[in-house]
Amino acid sequence: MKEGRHYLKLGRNVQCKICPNNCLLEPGDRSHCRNRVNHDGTLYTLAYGNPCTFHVDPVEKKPLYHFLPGSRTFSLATSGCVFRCLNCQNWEISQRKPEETKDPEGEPLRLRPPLPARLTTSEMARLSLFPDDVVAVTEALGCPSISYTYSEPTAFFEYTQDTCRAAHERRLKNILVSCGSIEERPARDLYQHVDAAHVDLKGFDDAIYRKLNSGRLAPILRTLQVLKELGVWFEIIHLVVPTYTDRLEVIQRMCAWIARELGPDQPLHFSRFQPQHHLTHLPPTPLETLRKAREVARAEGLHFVYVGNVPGMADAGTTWCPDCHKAIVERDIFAVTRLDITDGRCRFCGAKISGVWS
Amino acid sequence: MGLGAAGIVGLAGAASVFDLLRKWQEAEGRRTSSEATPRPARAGLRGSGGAG
Repeated sequence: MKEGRHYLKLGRNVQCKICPNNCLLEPGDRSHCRNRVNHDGTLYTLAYGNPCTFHVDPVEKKPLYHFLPGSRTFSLATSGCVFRCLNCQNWEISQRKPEETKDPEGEPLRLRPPLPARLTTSEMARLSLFPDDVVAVTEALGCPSISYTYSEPTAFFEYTQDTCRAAHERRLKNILVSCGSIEERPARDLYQHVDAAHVDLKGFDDAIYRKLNSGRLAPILRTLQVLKELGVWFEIIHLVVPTYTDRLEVIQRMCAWIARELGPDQPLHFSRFQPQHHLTHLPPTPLETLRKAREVARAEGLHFVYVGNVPGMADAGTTWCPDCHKAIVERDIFAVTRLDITDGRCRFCGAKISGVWS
Repeated sequence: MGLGAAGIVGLAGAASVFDLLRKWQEAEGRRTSSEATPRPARAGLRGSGGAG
């Protein structure tokens, strides 16, 4: 059992300081993210080495459009999340405890290369994958990066951090897909080992954040500023949820903040909502709303604005050179169909294009 | 996964975190498995926040 990091001992009570929930736990209590327990005055994580799912994805699925385009990334998750989003698309794992996504009774298994042709559901449920195992499996699969994704890596902080360290020793890249709700100290501790991040900016209204996600806006904005300061490459995604996060004046304020605080080269993805979890009564985001949001973002000066979850929309995933205005990267869902960037520069005019391209 | 030959290693006899959790729960007479939401923080400490 792995002891947690970033917590306070308060007699036999503990207070977790990883995320802004700051859970105060008496002996026997479990954290809001469901992954941490106080046993006799010590905080332990149940998630360490216990991924409930893993898969090889194109990096564009994260989505990251300016980081190693066309590459594959070994992606894994444990149960648990610091949020309670009404629209969560992965609620079957994010809103579960570790013992609900694993088989707590079965004989433990470990996966090492050479890899099996397939894994049964039963084997998957009994599988432990420790940091060195994750790295070995990633190398065996020929992936240049590991993604901590699907649920929320902040909820499996120690597992993520140790795996990131092990990955860097083998020159693999680390990608975090996160809601960004993390305290500043653990954020700085963790992101020094991270090469790229995708951060959800789920809205720009604190009241909506509380209602839709059970979170707060301010910590997310702070995380974005810290990432900028640390020089971690990151891209922002904003899910446009009808009646919650689709007000154009709020989107305009959000884009103005991004342009001012993070710069015009900060990529922003608008993603289409699909009815999920507790919000199945809402319709998918109208395409016209997404187009208008993109126009608003561009009007605020952002250079790289994308629309996701909309197969068939022309130029939804196209990167335009900010200088010569030619299309330099084209994508079809998760596939890169055109890449006119050489050594990080536009092939037509030589302008530097923000991102990590090789 | 679709790759290579078998590499699943059994860890027979090894105690999993879930074995340990179960023992703790039995010893303490508490059900951590049913307490997903922390109680609100006390005065002087920052709120635990969040909906259940």
